[in-house]
Amino acid sequence: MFVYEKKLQYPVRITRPDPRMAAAIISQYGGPDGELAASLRYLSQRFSMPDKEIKGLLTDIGVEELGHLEIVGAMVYQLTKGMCESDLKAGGFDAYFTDHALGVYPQSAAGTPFTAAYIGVKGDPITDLHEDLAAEQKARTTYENLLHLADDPDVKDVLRYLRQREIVHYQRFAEALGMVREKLDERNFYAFNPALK
Amino acid sequence: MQQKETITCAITPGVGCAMPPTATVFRPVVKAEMVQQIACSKGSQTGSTTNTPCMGTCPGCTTSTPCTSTCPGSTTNTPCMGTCPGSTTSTPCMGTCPGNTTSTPCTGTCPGLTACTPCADQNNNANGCNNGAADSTCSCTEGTTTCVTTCTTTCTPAEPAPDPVPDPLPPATGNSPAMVYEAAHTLAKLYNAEEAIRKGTLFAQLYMPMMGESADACGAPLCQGQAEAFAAWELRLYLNTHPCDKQALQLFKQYARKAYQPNYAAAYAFEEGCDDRWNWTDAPWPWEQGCQ
Repeated sequence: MFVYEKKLQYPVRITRPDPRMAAAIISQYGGPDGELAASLRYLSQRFSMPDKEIKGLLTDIGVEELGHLEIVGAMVYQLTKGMCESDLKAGGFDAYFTDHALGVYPQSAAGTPFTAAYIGVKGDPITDLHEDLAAEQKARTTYENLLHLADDPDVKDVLRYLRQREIVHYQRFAEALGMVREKLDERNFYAFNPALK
Repeated sequence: MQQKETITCAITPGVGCAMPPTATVFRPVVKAEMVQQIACSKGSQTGSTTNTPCMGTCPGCTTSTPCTSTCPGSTTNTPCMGTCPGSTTSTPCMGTCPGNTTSTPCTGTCPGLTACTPCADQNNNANGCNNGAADSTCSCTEGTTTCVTTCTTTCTPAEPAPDPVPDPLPPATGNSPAMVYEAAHTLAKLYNAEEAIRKGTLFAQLYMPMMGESADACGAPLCQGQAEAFAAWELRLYLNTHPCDKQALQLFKQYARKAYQPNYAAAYAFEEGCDDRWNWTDAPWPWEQGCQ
């Protein structure tokens, strides 16, 4: 089951509204390589994993990604709350503002609403772990792209933290893939799906 | 009530009957007292003698004028938009001030309080604090109709942070854009909790900042226990893939104990020290730059 702790994993304190930045950061909320996709992917994949350590890892990382989803939502909220009309009129936020005003809506930076088409759950531990490794790299790259776009140090501080978390998750998934490989028959590497044993 | 009656039918000329035919009909009987009963089926007006439908009653009202609401003590049919405890007028009340009898909007007082309830003494040496003094303060926020008691528990732990194993393994290349899977990842070099949360990892081997972007020691202020909770979480992920690492397990327990003081309830559901009301929903919420 799920328990909620009433604090963010990393504090977010943004004092200067920047709706243009919010329109970009929203991609890590509901975009293809964002935190919602990550958490849904891991929390769904864990059911068919044969090894208990990997079930635990996917559960923990999936839950941490939900915490990151909250952090990204907090960033979007703080980047838009209290903005002046001049910030709004400066542009970059028009389309999002029209449909959502100051609400936090899961979509990509391009405006595509979140879809489960962003995730893969293949039921094969080797396949799923490779998907997870790729997902962490895609998320890291997206955070680097956002770091290039950002100039507010309070925003960059949080983006750096989230980027580093993706690197750590990549490491853990690689270790998990190593654990699965050790248990496979070397001659029949792809001969069977360990989950169906 | 109905009664049987025999009537004489009208006859059509030319048919030529000896006697006009008769028919039995039933007619309703209306008695004088029934008139009032029917009128009162929609509501009764004390003292009313008409059948006007009554839509409501006003205390003390003797007319059939529809009443749309009642004001305590009111004798008119003026609609009341709200009631103020103790008020006898129909003046709309914008809010109630406990103990107040006027309809004046309340700007806020801490009801019944001239001082805040002090927090329960948190001087619990089991949590490692040996300062020997009460370590919580309360303040009451005026200007609202509710009294918010905020309790802060500050505590200087008696035991120092655990020393990392002194092995000067250099961190992995941080400046290359490609990211490396650390095959020989161990607990060789760990940051302390505050540095770890600022950098985003407890493990120096995994710290790989982007070119030109180094983590700041000064970011947004941390909440109580947030750094230790992060360190415990990092060890949790490490233990999932290294379940037999006893050193990691011991370190995890140390950080977890420090992070979640004094107990589960405080971490997940309830804030200690405020015993008179459920305060979990109190502002600020985490995205409003708040900490417990």
